[in-house]
Amino acid sequence: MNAILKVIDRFRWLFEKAGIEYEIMRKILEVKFKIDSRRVPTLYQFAKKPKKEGNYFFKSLWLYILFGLIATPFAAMGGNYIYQMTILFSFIFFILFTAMLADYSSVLLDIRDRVILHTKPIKEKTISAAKTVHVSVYMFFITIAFAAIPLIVGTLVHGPGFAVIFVIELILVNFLTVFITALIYLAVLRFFDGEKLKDFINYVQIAVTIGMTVGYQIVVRSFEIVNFHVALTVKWWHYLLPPFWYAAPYEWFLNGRGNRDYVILTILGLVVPLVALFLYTKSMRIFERSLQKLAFEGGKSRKTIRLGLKNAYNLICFTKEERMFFRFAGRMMKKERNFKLRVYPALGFSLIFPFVFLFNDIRVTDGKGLGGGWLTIYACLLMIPSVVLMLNFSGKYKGAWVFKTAPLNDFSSIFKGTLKAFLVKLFLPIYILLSLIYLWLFGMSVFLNLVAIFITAVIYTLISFKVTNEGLPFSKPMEEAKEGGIKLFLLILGIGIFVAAHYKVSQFSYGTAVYTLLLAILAVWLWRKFMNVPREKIF
Amino acid sequence: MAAILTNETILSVRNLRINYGSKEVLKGIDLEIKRGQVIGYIGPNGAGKSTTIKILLGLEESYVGTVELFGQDISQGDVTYKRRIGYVPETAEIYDHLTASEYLSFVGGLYGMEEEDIDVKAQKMMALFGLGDVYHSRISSLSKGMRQKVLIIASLIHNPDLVILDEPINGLDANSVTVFKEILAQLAKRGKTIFYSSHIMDVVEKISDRIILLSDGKIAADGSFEELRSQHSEGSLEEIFTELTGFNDHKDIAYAFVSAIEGGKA
Repeated sequence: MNAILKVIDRFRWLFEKAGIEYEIMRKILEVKFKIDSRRVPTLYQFAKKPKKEGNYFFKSLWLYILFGLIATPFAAMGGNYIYQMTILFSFIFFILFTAMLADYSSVLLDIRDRVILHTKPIKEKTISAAKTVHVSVYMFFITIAFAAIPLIVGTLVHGPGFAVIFVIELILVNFLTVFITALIYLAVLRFFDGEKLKDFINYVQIAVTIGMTVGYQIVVRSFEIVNFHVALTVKWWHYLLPPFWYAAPYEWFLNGRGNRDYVILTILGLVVPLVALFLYTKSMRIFERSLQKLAFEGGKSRKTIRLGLKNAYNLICFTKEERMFFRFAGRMMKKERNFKLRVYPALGFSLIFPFVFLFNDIRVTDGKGLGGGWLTIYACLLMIPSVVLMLNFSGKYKGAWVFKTAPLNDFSSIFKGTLKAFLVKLFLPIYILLSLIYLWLFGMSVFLNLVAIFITAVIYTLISFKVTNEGLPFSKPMEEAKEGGIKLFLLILGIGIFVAAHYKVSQFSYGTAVYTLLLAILAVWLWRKFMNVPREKIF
Repeated sequence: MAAILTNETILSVRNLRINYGSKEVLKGIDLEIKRGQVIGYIGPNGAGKSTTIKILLGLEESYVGTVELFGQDISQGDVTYKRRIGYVPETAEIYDHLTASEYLSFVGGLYGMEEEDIDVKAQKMMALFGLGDVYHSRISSLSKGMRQKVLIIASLIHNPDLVILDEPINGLDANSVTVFKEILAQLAKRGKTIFYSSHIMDVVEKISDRIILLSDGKIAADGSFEELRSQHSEGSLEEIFTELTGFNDHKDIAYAFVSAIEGGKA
């Protein structure tokens, strides 16, 4: 990280010109990077030899390199820039915005810093600048990791002009991501306070993440294949979608199509980030002041209305302890903001993904693909592994000591209650909604199949739990939640086995019925087997 | 030693008010604190003590009224006055991934001190607090009392003229508390001003030469312990506190509470 600071040193004049106390800012950054490098992931915590200090962030970059590799074909394709670069920049925006919201918002919204930094004789400007640089460094590395391979391949194919445009655009995109996020937060901070503010920030984060996915679908569907050529007719709403801004310059400069549409798009891509930067520097002070609102724990407590579900829960949970943990886990899932931020977008995806697959299915097969189309509902199971993994973590992980001091003989009820809460409170509502739509689309004949898929979801939950469990639920700090990338990847691939098996058996008469019965037996057996987590893992 | 100007005003607050939403937290506070005083700042939970401290440190800016520290109006956006303040936060917020040495050199640096200067001072102060051998250990590995000592050192390392302490002895053992009280007394003698906010009445009673009691956003009492005693009940500060805050049903509450534990027979 010292190398990074040395690079930042080169821009010292720039910061000083902006009235920032450079030496102080550098000190803050140095400490921040040091702290980041010392967050040891749980996996290594009990290793006999203490691992060398290293920023865990850099170890998570390979995932972005992998994404970049997947996106590379879009950089390497022939010269249909408006299509390929729009897709590529959609990827980039998606990755940067989700990283920004989920992982680095905490840097911008940190109020813990206030007590330590704002009580010292430092200008607010300097603290804001340190925060911004801190976030930007991480965004910069994520961008590099993702864009390096597309950049090299694209340059080899399209020549140095591609490289020049790409690099300038990446810088602009970074500006746009960081400053737009900050400005959104600023707007929210101005209009709300107390608990409502924290909730609202949470909803904004979730909405942006889901919006990006939907936006991507719109982008992809903007293109029509006409005579083996992907064509785009620019409509007014394309001006609202930033990926188009960054695809247009390639058409203009590399394909020589400097028509009005592409010129306007290019100018938007240049001007909007600079305006965002300008607005951000102007409003930094207001931003820092508004942050104080986050520190204030206010608001009257609201009485929650109890529905008559108490008896219904007795049917799901058989012991008193299990019911207790069911309720507790349900509340954590509903109220813990860090958890919601990571999990709710995934829930949104599982509602959307089946239809994405369904539409593709219809498109590819010219509308005739409805035979096995109901299988696309499996797409909503894809979120199960990552949500089950998240059950290990919490922003308030330290509270987990209560489990250990409580007089519990049987820890399995903790896990049973928690997993049942996940299935009933998070998964089931989505699944029932999807099922109703699928029954309407495909008719009652798929009913048994939908039951089989629900039992598969239970089994899949259990397997995910077995693979990702790290002890008591909600007992690990949220910062460590980035591990497990490869486990999740394998688990998600694993769903393919279930889909294939189900598709096969559904072609025999009574195949589905027998299959459903077998799944049910497997589910009960696994439920008994996997819930007995060894005590060593808990303590 | 240079003569100390005991008449210099360190802190001056006039008609200080602040609202959180519709709730009025401070309802007009007037304060004048002279150099070398040890102020005990007390009051029930929610009376506005922490809010006052936040305002003094520039963490809260939405107040009405004037606040002057060292003769400088703090609302003018100039933060240099903070250079002369030391602060121990109640929340004990600290970057505990750092070692004590790293943290102290960071904080000292923020106050504009030189690296070697900090190190020499910090080592001495750590050793005197019995923390010599954990100087290079991560703060996260220290006990609560040790952390608190690091926070105290961090608040004093730049030789401030005003020390604002919010529950500073949390987790300290009795011997350390004795040392700390003596440190405060000697600092005051050398012309430092101490602003000590706490719920621990017998410590406040012993160290303060002026006690300010905040109740429901207003100053309910202001004077030396002797003065408060002569005006109110002739007891301990704790008794004066309960009298002034109009609290006298502690026995009934305790009785009902114990009954509730045993099954609600109250």
